[in-house]
Amino acid sequence: MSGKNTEYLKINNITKAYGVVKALTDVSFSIEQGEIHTILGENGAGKSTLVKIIMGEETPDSGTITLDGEQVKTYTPSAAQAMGVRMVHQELAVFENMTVAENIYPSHSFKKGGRIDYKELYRETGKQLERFGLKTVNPEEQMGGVTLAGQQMIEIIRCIVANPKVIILDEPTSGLNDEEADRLMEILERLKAEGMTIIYISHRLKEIMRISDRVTIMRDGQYVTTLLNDENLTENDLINNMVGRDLTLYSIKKPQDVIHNEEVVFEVKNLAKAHALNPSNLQLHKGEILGIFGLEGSGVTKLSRMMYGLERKDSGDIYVKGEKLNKVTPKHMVDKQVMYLNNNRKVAGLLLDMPVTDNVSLPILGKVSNRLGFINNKELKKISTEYIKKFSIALPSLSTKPRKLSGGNQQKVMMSACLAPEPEVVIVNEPTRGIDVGAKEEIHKFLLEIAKKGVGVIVFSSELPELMRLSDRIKIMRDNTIVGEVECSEFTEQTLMRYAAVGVSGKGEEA
Amino acid sequence: MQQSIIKKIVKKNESIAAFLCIFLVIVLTVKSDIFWDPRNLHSLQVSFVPTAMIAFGMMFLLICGYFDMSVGSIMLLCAIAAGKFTMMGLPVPVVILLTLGIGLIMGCINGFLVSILGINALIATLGMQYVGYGAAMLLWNEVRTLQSFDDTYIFLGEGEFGGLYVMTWVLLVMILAFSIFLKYASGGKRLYFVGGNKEAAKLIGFNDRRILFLAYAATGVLTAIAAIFRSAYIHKPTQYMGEGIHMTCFIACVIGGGSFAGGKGSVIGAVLGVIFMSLLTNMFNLLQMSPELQNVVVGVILVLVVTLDGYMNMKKLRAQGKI
Repeated sequence: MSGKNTEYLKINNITKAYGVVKALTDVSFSIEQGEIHTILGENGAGKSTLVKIIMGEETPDSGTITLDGEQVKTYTPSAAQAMGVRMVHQELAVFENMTVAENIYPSHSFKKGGRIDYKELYRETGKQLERFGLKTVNPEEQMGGVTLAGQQMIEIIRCIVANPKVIILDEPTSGLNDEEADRLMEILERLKAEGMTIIYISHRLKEIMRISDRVTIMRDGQYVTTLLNDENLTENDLINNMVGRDLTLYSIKKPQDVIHNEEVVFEVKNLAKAHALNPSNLQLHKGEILGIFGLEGSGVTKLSRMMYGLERKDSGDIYVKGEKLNKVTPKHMVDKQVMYLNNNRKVAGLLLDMPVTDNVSLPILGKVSNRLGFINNKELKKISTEYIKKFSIALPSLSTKPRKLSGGNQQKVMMSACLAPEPEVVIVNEPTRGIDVGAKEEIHKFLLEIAKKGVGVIVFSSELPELMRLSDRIKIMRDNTIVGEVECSEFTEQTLMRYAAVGVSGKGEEA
Repeated sequence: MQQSIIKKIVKKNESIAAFLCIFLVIVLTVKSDIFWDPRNLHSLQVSFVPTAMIAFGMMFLLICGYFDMSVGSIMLLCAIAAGKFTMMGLPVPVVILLTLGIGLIMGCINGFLVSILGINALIATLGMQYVGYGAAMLLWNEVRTLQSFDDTYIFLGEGEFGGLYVMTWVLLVMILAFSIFLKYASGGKRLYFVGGNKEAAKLIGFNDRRILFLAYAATGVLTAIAAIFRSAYIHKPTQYMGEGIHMTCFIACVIGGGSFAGGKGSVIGAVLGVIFMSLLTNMFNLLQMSPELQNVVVGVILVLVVTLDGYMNMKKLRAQGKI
């Protein structure tokens, strides 16, 4: 292997859009043969889309990929595998109904007279398990009985035994504890020494600093830079490049605009669930906007869904205006005037084929009905029209169906539906994902306005500038735990990102 | 040591069906004088064998996480079509081949609808149930006058060899072949991969659609084979053939260790499940239970089995913190 190919895997001007959302814009860089190359970036930076394209799970709109001088022609997983690329997915792709051995060798490479040779299969699996330090796992065991960390390691082993040229690992340590992650690092270093090219995606800066040869940073679907991991590279360099937006383009909340109100309208106490959320607490005051930030896999989605009863919890309580809820279900929440606004308007937010008026009035049907349960259509129309005006939703007519509207207008319809019952607490999840700047602006304005009127708002968002504009405080999650809280006066992208990526604040405690 | 062997047996998916079968045999032995009568055992055999063949197809599908509600009318259509081909004066081998072809076509249509077009399996195969039944009834008006199949054809149903029916021998060969297929062939193993985690199977490069399509096609052919043996045994097609057999096979497979969620099941499980269902029907007849009550019992068993299956799947997901 003399004369390493510095452009072993070459990504040339890759662009990919999903509808109006540009996931990748003109991304180009090269990966050297036999290096560990980390791709780093916030949620939505485009890392996952990029590796999906390399793995053949997505086809780029334009641009090319060249592996070892050979240009990729068809983008399918089997074509990528044939070229020697394997990937360990963030979501475990394992078969719990099969044995460990079958999970490692799904194509059953060991045959005798056309039949699967189980003896050989188990022996070879045993060897591999030992090689990777999984001595306690039995090859004949059902995968379902293996710990999550074990399953993750087994999936990695499956990729490695296929003897690939390039292996992609997407957040491989998210399910591992420190010791297990440590062992994985050692394995990766050994594989690198054997000449394998490794693409590594992770948010854990310490790991990245330890094993990467080079780090490519992406932001908002664009390539930012590639840094060489020598003695001079610091965690701060990485964080600064991850966030480094020109913040003069964004307005950030001023400390003097922060509302101080001691009245707690919504409180979460020790909310927890095994494998999903460590005991979490938070308090929301009247008229306050509380932001919650976390990178992928940090548990933010679980928290947002569990606090509204959309997902089962193991333990913990929710208090609305000091009153403990006996049962946490969306219905109880709505009854207590707590509303939840989902990020996915297509799946969980709108009835796309029912008139806008019906959508807006859905949560208040009870209110505008008489005692016999018949709907007062006049009243309904009045309220709907009011909200449609308030949000300046551009509508050809009241009976237009949301399916025909733009993403921004759909989002506004959803917002109206959520606010029509005049709630006291609003929980919004990624309120502006995938909509245009103008609509975003209006939604931001509206959230600030209702907060001013005394509504408590919790905003879950993966966009730091958005949170910094709206929130009075921001809580940060990492590894299914709330790791910190930053006050408005101390908002900087660096501080927030440091909590999310490293888990500690930047002040003093350099590790 | 001994205890661990017992534990292992109890833990096997197939044990529930085995225990249920033993239980029914005991009940039948005690309650009925004629259960062990050779004539009763013969009639058990000829009703059991075709059902088991169809259940193999259903089991393949369940392993993938799917099912087929049209097997009953495919069976009916095949038997009546065989009658029609006989009336056309075709030689027996041609009749058999054409009948198998009809089963294959019906299976392929199911496979196309469910795996290629992605239509919900329940709706697609229920629709095909109506199509098959309607087509069979169209042919029936002409075929009802058929007195009897050719003698060679009838031999398939009545012929005996070493004390067992020809069809029973065929079934035994199938049990052996399919067991080996599911355990020792990579093709068979793929059914479990697809059923266990379809997305993951796709990601590691398995063609999940083709695998499912083939499972449906195989079910169609197996149903045609069952139709041939069954109709040969009764000498001519009847308009009641295959009635309710989709439910019988489905219940049998789930009792025998299959699951709605896919990813598990075995040939032996299917056999034991069908034995259970056959013994149950036999008990209904021998104890002269009213048909209304029979329906209630079968319905209760179906609901119980599906509820239990769903409960177990949910428990598993909860333990892993997935829901």
